[in-house]
Amino acid sequence: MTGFNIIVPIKQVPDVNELRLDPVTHSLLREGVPSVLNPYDRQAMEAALFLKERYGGRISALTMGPMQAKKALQECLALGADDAILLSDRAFAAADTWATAYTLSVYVKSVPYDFIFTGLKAIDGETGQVGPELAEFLGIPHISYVSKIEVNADSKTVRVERQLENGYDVWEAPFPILMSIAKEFGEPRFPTLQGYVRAKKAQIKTLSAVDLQKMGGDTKNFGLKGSPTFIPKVHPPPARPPGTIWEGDPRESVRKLVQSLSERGLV
Amino acid sequence: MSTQSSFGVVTDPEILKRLAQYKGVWVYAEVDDNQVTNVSFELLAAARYVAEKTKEEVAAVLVGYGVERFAKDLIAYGADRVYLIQNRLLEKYASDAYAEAVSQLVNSKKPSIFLFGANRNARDLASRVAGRVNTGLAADCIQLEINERGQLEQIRPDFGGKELSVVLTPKHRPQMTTIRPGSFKVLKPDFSRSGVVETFEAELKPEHAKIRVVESVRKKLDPKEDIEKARVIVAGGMGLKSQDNFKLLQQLADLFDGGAIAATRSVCEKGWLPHHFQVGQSGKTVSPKLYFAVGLSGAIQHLVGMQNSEVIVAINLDKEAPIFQVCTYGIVGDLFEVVPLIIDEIKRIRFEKSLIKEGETVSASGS
Repeated sequence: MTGFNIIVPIKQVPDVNELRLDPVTHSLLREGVPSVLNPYDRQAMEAALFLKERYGGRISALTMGPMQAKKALQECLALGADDAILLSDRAFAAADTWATAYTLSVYVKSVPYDFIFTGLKAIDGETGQVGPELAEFLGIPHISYVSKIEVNADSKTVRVERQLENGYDVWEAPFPILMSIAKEFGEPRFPTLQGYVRAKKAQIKTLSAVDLQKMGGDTKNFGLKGSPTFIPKVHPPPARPPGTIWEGDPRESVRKLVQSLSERGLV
Repeated sequence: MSTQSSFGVVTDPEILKRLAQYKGVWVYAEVDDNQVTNVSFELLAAARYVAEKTKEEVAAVLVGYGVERFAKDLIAYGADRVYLIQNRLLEKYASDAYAEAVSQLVNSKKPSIFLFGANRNARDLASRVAGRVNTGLAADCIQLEINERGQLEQIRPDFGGKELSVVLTPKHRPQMTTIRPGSFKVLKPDFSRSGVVETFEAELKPEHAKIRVVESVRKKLDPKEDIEKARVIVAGGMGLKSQDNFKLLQQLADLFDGGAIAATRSVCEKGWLPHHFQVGQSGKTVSPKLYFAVGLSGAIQHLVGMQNSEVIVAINLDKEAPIFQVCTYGIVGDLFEVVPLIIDEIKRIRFEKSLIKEGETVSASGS
């Protein structure tokens, strides 16, 4: 056994902390917002490195996005990914989670893999759906919210802990398998300087819609056309009717407040 | 996700014919820790709201082993029909066997709408089912509407709650949605409602159940820490300045039956309170009768988790804080001065009321 083939699908996202609302229209200002590697995906890279350090193998970082997404892949290379693949084509644009998972699956089916690690979700869409949908297209099992992994290389099985809102599960399953990695897995590392140097030299393989079509992909399932969902309307959250605000003497303010609450039967 | 308005209108007669085969509003009735999860009852309320508009039946999908006893509750809380799928392989939630069983039911009965909770396991299942039955899935919705074309408008906060998106699933069925817990109020149960319990035999082969559940450990939340069920919430932000000062908020919360404290993301990330106290986009959605927002500015991230509260009281030093734009009542002032005054004033007013009541009793007996 010469180690595992590990794939880490990642996403480049706008830095949500940098997003601002237009003070007048309350619509989202997207211009000039920096793009970063989705923070949750660092956890997936951490799990991949954890496995590689113990069992050897290769880590491939994979994403679908515009050419700028190479920057996020470089971050993965700096962290220790062995290679990186970018699926980039205008035909992939505006894909929802179904079409994204489909597109990723076309590439993944063309390469050998034992494990696929994803983040819990992306900070922009926050759906957490692409991982399970990708596993579905690949016809392999998936386990979400994983905090601990034990590999039995002989029986080709894993025993994992997964974190829930009110406790945890222990599951056993055969691999190949896809897992989404929870923050309880452990603090993800940061790239080293040598890592960044290595990443600069690395080649990022880029594949287009035509390339994926040659691998058996059905172009009508790509991008906007292939997406079952779409968004006709986006608007700012509704404003509530203005409230009553008291300033000045706190005793007086509190008296009026408690009086109002009392009238509503709340005290 | 895509944005192109002409896509929402379906005119192709072939597609329309196919879509017309799908009828009914379904909810996934999740069983965890030997009970139906609270969000499942919220989904029934959401489904009834939608079904009133589409004039369709509401069905609950109940999956497990030895779970038939829950069917009558689901009917009391709004289901017209319960599809019961039972199998030894389904005794505990496992993503592969559950997805196969539920997908078989979807393909056989063809619902138009299928709602899941946006909690971890139900969201996990919904993703896998949507992949298998080839349909769209809108995540984390907080509101549902039916538009003039009879399509489900699935409304969700995006970008940490900075905007709301309306998601449609025009050409695929079922229209699948996960709903954030706390977005809909559970209906009053009516145990005289009648409904049908229909058993569905899913064909599960060993290759459908590769995952083995070795152990599942659940812990019960102390009611004082179960903020999703609290009637009154006193939430604190970084303005509290230290972990210790949350005792002050606890004193205020303790004045109310079903009172609980809660916090913002920053507070939980600092470790002042555990994560299950967090309200907001990456925490819990709550809708209590009364929500005190104390020493928190009201980042949109937080607002999406509490804006459905009936009455919001904001207490903040900064009069420009966004929380004052959503509050019902606000006090601009120092929380360390204001909160103790509120506690005293509530005690005083309650004491007064008790005197009046006593007085009434006395005069009533005297007449």
